[in-house]
Amino acid sequence: MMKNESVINVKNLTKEYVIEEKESGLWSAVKSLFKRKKRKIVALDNISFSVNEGEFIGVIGPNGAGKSTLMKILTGVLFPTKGHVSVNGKDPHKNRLEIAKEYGVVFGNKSNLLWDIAVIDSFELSKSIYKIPDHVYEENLKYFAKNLGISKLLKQPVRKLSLGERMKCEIANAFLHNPKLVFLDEPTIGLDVLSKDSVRSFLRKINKERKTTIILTTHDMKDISELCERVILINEGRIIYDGTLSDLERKFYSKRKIRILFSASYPKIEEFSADGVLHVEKNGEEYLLVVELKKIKLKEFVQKILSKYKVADFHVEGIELAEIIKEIYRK
Amino acid sequence: MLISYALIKSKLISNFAYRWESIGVILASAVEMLIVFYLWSAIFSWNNATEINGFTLTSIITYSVVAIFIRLICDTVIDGEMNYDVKTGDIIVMLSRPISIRTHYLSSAIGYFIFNLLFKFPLAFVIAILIGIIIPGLDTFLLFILSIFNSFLLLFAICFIIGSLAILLNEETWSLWFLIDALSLLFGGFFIPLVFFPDWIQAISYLLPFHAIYSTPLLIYVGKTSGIDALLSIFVQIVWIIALFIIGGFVVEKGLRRIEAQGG
Amino acid sequence: MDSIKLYFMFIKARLMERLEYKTNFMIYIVPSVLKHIIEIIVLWFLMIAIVEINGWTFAELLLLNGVASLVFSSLFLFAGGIRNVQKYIETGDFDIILTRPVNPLIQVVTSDFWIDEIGGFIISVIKILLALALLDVQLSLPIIFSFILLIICGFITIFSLILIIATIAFWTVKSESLLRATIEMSTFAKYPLEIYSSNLIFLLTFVLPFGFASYYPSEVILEKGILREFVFLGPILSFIFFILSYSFWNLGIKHYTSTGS
Repeated sequence: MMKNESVINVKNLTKEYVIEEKESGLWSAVKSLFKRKKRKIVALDNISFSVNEGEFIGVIGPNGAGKSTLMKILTGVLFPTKGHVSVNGKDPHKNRLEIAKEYGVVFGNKSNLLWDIAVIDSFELSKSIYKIPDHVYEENLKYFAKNLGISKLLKQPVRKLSLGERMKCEIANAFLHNPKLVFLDEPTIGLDVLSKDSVRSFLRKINKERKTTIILTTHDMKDISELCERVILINEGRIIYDGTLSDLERKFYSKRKIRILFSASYPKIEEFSADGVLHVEKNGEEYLLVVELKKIKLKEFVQKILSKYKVADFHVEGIELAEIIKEIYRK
Repeated sequence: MLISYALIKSKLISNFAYRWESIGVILASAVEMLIVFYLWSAIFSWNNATEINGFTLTSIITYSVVAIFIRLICDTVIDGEMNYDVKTGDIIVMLSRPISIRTHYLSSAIGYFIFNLLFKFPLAFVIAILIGIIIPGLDTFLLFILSIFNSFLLLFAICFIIGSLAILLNEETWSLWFLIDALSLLFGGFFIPLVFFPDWIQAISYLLPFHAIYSTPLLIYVGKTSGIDALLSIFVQIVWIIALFIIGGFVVEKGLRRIEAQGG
Repeated sequence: MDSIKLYFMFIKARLMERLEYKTNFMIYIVPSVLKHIIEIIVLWFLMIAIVEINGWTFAELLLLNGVASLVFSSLFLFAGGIRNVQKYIETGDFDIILTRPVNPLIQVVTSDFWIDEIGGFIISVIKILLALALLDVQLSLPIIFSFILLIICGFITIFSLILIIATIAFWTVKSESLLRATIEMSTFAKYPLEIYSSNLIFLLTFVLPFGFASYYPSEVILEKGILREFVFLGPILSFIFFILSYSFWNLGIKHYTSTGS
């Protein structure tokens, strides 16, 4: 059955805060009893997007770009200044308690599980809170044991677990009640490589098998490249890119990075300027050029350099995702 | 060295951030002082008395209010601090520093004491005056100040023992303070002078340090002890201070042995 | 009702946490129980000297003290978590509370289950029973019923007061010391209201209703005839007060969800 309704629908969402300027010192403290300077911050500026069922979306942006604000609005923890938000067809803020049953959430730096009791006891508590039927509960426990490898962790109190182990349990807890939508806020932060891998394969699997819609915010580009078909880039409260990862790469894939180490006579940077040379940089002895393949024939270009100068070493590389993102933000 | 000025200063500054929270504690003390005022006034008027157990209405109100005052100012939170450091493991870091544990906490307590003087004393003093306590003469006042200082050291010594027990037993011992507080009610002459209690209780109280914390300075303040008697009671305070410091030192030593063996 | 079941589930989880903790119960229970006992001993000796305070005998004062300590012990025991509001707001943990499909107030109230306070609770009950025995009062079923009812009203009233003060944290984030001070103010409740000035009596009935924590329930038994009217208003007043404080709490949440702190 085709789902025409989107799971998340955001239209013209704007979020503004008014904060009071705090100053230090005794005199300011006294002044602040009477009048406080106020400043308006625009956390999100007229953003719109929608998410369909089963999508796995990555949300990227520098710190302070508005990612957490967006997450909070989608979960109903914050309400918008302007615009419309609908999650599962409802206004998340007005129906906060109701939609809380329909999604799962993991905040990377905070814990949803109770600290001092065994993981399984926290799961039991979640079972009561979300009214999970027995058979669903048992099934999921088996599923997590198999795909996240947490069965030996269940009897231990959360505080005794390593960060990686704890995060796996938090993720299991988020999926425990079979939500159609899961928000993951920096779930792989601070995890070792092995844990990251197992978390990623779990998320990939559950997204494919259960068509769970997943919204992931992260700073780790590998999370994005391994899991998300679609990325949303946010900067300063605005969406600056919303599209598939492959489109993003294709746009930049026609660019190449060339690193050249000259053995003698260092050329001036201006010597390389030509149509199609997008960027020239000199870092000590190494030169970095970025060229657009649509305008420059790579073979000719390189041969020209090799014949004109004495070259000790050179590399040609594609653009990494992290660099692509940086590029976009630089604009 | 016995105290570290640097530590005193840093504790004073760090407590400064909590100066607004003091309002809560001052309020609580103000409430207690008001209760004391109403309670004794009611008792005296009901019984149509001018004197009970040798105390007039003003002198007993003064006694009780100043008792609350002493507790407010001399309050040291060292037992809580030490417990916290044991729990978080910070106590081990302290062992690697060149100052002794007692020096560390005594300096911290003095820092807090100065903080109390600066932020709690003024407001509480105003309230006490409004209630109408007696202001003593200068020589009484000087003796009083001296005995207050001893009370502070006594409270510190007791809290230090409680904290050291935490180091020794690796358990949370801060609730023992409730015990001390309660015992001060009975054996310390806090709020109700010792003469109100039967002789056998008064006898026991002289075997315990609590009377030296409250009863001693309070009786000096209201003029019940003066001259030689006052100096004698101050001497008794000093004896208790030394005794408690020795006990504290002993407990903390044992505690440190345990940490060295177990690693905290 | 659902909320009640969830309340007990959370309490159960917190109890499990507390039992996991290595800290010895006795180190809290023994001193706190002793503190209660010594309070009574001091009162006893005071009364020997004074015989009566404003016509209140030792047994009557014991009842007053017992009811007050029962109400406050119960608050520590069953709703102790309310102290954590400021902490949750400061650390942003309140966001997590809002993402769970459970009433945030229940989550906050159950965030701490200080089972150690059970000692104080039991001794408060003992104080009351002792006082009743000493008083040699005729206890009929209606009297017992209204006594217990008013104690519960006292609990609700003080809980509402504490809720209001805790809610301030949504705006100033500095309610904790005020909260502690309010609990300290509970000492007012341990003494007969008549000794206070009429302004103070008004304050303690309508503004900071500590009167309900001890005086009015005790009136049911003692029938001193003073301020008796308020006894009957008890349930209504505490109910209204709770509604007010709960609305204020929701207002606080609304403010939190608009600024996100």
